Amino acid sequence: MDNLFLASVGSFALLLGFLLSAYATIAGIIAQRSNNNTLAESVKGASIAIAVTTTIAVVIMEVFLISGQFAIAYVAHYTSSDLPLFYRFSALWAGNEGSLLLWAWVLSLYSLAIALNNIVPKIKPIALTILNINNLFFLFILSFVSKPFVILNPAPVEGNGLNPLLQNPGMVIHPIAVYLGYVGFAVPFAFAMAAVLAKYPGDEWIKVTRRWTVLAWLFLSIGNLTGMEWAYVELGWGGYWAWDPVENASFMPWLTGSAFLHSVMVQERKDMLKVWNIFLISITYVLTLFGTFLTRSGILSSVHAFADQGLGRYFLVFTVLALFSSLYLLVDRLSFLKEGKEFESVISKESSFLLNNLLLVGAAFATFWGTTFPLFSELFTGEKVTVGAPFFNTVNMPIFLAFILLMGVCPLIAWRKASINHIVRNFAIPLVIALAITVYLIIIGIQKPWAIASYFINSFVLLTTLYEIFKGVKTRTKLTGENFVKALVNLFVKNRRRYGGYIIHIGLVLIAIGITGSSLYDVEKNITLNINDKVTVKNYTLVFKGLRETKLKNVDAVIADLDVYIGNKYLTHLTPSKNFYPNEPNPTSEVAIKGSLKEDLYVVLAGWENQDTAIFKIKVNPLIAWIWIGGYFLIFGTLFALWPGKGADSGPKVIPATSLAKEA
Amino acid sequence: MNQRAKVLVGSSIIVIAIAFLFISAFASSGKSYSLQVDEAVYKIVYENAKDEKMRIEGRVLPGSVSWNAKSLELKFVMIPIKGSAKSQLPVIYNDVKPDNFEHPEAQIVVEGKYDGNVFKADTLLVKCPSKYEKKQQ
Repeated sequence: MDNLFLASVGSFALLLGFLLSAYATIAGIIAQRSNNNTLAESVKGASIAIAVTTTIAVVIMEVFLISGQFAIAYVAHYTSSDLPLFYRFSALWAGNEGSLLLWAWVLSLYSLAIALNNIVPKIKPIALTILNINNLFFLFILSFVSKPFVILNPAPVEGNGLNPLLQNPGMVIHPIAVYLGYVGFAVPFAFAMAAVLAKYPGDEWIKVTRRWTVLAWLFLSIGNLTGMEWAYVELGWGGYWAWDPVENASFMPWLTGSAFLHSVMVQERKDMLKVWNIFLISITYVLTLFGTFLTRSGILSSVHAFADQGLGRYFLVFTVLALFSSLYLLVDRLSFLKEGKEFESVISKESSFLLNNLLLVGAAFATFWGTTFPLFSELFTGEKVTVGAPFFNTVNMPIFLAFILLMGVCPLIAWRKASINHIVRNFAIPLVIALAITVYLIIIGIQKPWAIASYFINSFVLLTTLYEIFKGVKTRTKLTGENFVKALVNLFVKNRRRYGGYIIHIGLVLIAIGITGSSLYDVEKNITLNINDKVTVKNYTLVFKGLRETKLKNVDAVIADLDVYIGNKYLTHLTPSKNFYPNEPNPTSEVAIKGSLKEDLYVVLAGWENQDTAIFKIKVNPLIAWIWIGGYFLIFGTLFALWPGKGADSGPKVIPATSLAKEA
Repeated sequence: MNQRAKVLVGSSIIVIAIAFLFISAFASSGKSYSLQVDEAVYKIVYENAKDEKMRIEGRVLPGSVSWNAKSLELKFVMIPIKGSAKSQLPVIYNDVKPDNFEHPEAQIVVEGKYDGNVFKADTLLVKCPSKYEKKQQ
């Protein structure tokens, strides 16, 4: 089929989608006001049609990308004929227009799922209308501002190719996970707003959107983790997090989203914190929009943002609109959101959740402040002042440690009112072991105060969590006569929400252990080596054996050969390289990593002077593998808690294992 | 005191603690001025901005780069991204030369302090305009 024709079909589909969203929004509002059922039904039809139009546009774009139609500007910009099929497919989210198209597509599918589902009939139509306003915005952008189907005339014979830095599996997963996370928060946001608008009491909106929230949170977690791993293996500076505005952009909604996930439990259980929950989900959703604004506008100097195409101001307007309308609604309906119960004790689960929320929101606020400070300082003083990584670290490190400590303590504190005696009994054993571990670490040379604090807290929390699981299993074996393994499995499977949460907590502790080790005890050496020169970094000795040139699939590579020894014992051979991609004027570094659970040896070929002299950046990053392992725990725990079926919904009403023990 | 008040007091203490942490971190952690090369040169010449942390954006004056691989010392002259090369700032950076550094279109960001003779950069980042978005025709 003719490219020109297909491209116009794509553009037309998007325009039609835009008009349909406009119709669905207006019809939705009128239907709600006049109780017109036929009109409400037509909104459902429109939702199906919107999903169809965006699907058509996505399919057409994929056909163009995979078959390499360089007449389409987007295809020419992000692919080339020598690009592997996998990356041609994923080029859909390599650039601006494509990723917005992906966003609109996912949002329209989510809206469709809501339209076809018969949940909370009193507020669903309003939620659907709110989602349609979002559809309208994205389809407006795609139809008029950032058009994906621009045709180049004459068509270039070859495309520019995908940026080599993006040719990495991590970079394929990272953006799509972040988008799915961002879009996912639209659903609980829409329901929260709908509940407020309709003055619909109760926490039904929380129950029906819980899966959406957890799923969005999971995707955002995966997005952040894969982004970190990509930065680590691909960018060659030896770190994984730089407090760059773009990183902060996806970190802030993760923080507020995590706070929301916890505080809704208090509402489900105790009918409290209603205003706070609506505020949290609104802020979370607004932060996802704000994050997109930051990345798309290029307003803050970031090393990895999209170029400005005038998109920024649209996102800014939409973000501000979403923020003010949700805050206005919240204030306007404050009286209707009466709290059900009050705090019955200072030491209770609900108050510990409140503390958890204060910490998370505090971290989010500090991150927001640091990220946007250059903007506001320029606005008010005329001078652009940036705050560096030290600010973020100084504020966030104590907050996160307190947060982790709470994570270990909180699950063991009872609802309503906990007794001090009970708490002491629960914590005595883990506390003693954690102290012993800390003393041992100090003896073997871990003496930085932050490291000591972090390892003490982390081992304590890990132990309390494991101890809690162990007690649950023990009680179960007593009650049911099951053997230990069977009791363990059943305990988890029957209370998936609770134990999924524990698995996530363990994952976060492992991540914290990895971050502490790799950020406080990393060793770096930059050095120029002649052939057969030796260099020793920590306990590794590296011998430079020379440079060679090779041709891999679509790249020319210069590879350095290094033999690595520990003492006199040969360990491994490392081959960091620089790759020269066609169409790219500069080479990119391929890092060589020899990893273990204890530490990573990280070698970058930074350059060379001649055949026999090369420059290396050599790092030893302790415990970094635990960040990725913790990430897998987090993902597994979330999926475990989320998986539909028996045991998944019995969350907060379940009797905690500790009180079970008392009864037994 | 009822429980509600106690919780309120407890929360306030936490909020104040976080606020205190926040303010002290903000006051102590080095903030740096984000400047273009000409603004930085202005600050240095007219405001005697010595030993003040700055973050400067600009590009490399072609032909000004000298690189000593043995001692890992990179010296170059920075000029404004746009316009004439009238404002010039000599920079010294003791680390490996980043990829893309000598790309003709590369914009660079340096962070560091002016020591009276030369700008000593602790970090050097290369922002290649073609990094994510190819230049639109």
